[in-house]
Amino acid sequence: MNIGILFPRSNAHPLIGSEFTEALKAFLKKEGLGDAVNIHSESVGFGGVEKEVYGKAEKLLLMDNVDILIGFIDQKILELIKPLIQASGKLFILVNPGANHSLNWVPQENIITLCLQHSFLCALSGSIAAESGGKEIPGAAASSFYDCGYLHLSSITNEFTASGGKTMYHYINKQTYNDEFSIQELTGFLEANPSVTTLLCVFDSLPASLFYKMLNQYEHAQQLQLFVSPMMLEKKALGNVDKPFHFTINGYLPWHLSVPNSENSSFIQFYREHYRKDPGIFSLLGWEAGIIIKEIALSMETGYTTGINVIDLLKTKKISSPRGVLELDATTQYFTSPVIRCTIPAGSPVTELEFNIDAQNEWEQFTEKTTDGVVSGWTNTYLCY
Amino acid sequence: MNELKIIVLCSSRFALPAIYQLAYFQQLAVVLIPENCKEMIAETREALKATNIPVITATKENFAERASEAIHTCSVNMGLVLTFSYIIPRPVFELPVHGFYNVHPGPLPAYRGADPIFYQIKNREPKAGVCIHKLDAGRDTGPVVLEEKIMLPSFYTYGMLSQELAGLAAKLIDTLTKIIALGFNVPSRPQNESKAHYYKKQSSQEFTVNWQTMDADSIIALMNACNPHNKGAATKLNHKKVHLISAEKDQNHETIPSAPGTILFLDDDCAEVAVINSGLLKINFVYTDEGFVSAGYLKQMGAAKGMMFENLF
Repeated sequence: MNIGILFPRSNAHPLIGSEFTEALKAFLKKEGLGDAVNIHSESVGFGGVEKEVYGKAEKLLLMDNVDILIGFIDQKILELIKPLIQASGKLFILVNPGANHSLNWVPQENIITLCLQHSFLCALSGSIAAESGGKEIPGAAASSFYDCGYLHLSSITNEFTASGGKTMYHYINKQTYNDEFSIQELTGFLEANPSVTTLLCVFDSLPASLFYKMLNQYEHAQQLQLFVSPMMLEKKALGNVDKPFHFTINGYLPWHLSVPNSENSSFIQFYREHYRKDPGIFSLLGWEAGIIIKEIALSMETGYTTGINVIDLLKTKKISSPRGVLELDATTQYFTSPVIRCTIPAGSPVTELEFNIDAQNEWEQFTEKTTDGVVSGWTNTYLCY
Repeated sequence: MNELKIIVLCSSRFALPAIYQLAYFQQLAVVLIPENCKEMIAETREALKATNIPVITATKENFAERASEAIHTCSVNMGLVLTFSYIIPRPVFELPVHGFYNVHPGPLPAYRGADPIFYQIKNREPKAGVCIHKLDAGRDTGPVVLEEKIMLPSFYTYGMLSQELAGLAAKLIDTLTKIIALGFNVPSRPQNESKAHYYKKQSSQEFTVNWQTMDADSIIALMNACNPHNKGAATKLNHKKVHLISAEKDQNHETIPSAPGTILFLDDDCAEVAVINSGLLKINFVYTDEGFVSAGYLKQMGAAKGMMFENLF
């Protein structure tokens, strides 16, 4: 089997592409499929240059004649290569953090999506934010200039509003991740509006750590309840800040090192044995892509012929992954899995994790909604900047 | 980058979002509209009045000649058809160097024909779509470049679906023009002839309710498929033509064996009518010669409990 990979590059997360492909290859090798699967890789940079992405996808599909194409790219650039994927009839696996979601939930029939569901998890955070107070609880949204160019910000604020909250203020931080990083305007608003104690926060891990550091110095921080995006719960975001936090942090994660299942244990053990490090989210995506390729390889023995065939087969499977059970949602063709509720109470050094939360109903409600109005944003893959 | 100069051939408002978009990106060279589509001509001229993009008209007899002229005069290098009344002959669709594409408001090959929007609603499809294909000598038979579907809720009228598909068409055209502008070959795949179906232009009979064969869901689907262009699904009551505009299926009723079309209840707001399979249809609004009115108005037309709606044909 020939697999093509469009892998990304990032200054902010320099290992994004290598960790993804390394994990994919490692899983296949571990399962004895290393020789049976040939991998052709092409870098697509930050994923925002149309000619580059299209050209590389065309090369893999037409010249390298791959059987399956895995694209670590975002929704927007996917639109451009859809004609190529449709014409090929081959299976395309879209991989990304999920900060953007489909604007049209009816999928192209030979495309499936494996992502970290960030936009959906932000919607869950927005929902619990609204439930944390009384009716019409006032809130403020805070985000970086970069992060606000993806749909996860609208997911958290829209769900907050839909669940009864009222967003009073939007703070967008400048794209400066150094000593100039400031949240003065935000704290100024909070000073002037003491009834606003709910913050909806969407930052990548590096600006998140700066944001936490600044907010921890805010005089009335202990009154604040933060509802945050998944990247703000990553080790890189939380690890560089003096503890404890004076505010409470709430949010959802797609995966964590301590998820209690055997697939996760063997994933972590493999990494510790072979690489002497813990895996991260990009390794998780590569590992899971490997799990899916293995399922497909097994199905090929029983008559897999086209992308559509294999998707029909995958829809019937419950796939064990480090996250828990991955299932291909028949309506959207997104893989879904149990999620993790994460809370760090104010003043506590402990991160409380509630594993294995079934969010299928919330997912169905999320994907029943249409995105109204004009949508604009960054074209590069989230975290690739 | 290839600079695109596009001719759009169109007959209906389905083309308007694409026209706006192409004009905005300075890719629209000329628009050709059949001269009997007066409203569309006026609306397109209004849309493009701030530009110097010509909107030309043609008849069935001279459209090929006029299109060829426009392609040469405006240095057109790509063509788009968006619900055009006439079949484009090969000498015309082979002129633009970047090809001629039909933007069809229905999935292919399942919904070939002039009015796929009507049939997708009438057939109660759960999803509707837009398909872009390369033009060939057949009717909606060329190789498919791109197709996308959206959900088709059961309450969608012809007007609602037309608008949504028009927006979707503009989005797909954006993808197509980017691929060509970037200098890539446009990928396509042949249509699967075993799944092909051609829908002929509707006869007036197809806009009417058949009370003996249609259940509540089918009547509602027809009603939506005929709204607004036929002012709803046509039927007859008390020797007068009535069009059903808004109705719903009543699922919480006792089974009352009655002939299909029989009015079982009538008040100032609605009429409840027996349909086949012991079903009940609650009619809310109708169109009559007097205008768009509440179903309660049927009493003014002499309707009463026990009377029957009849087939027009």
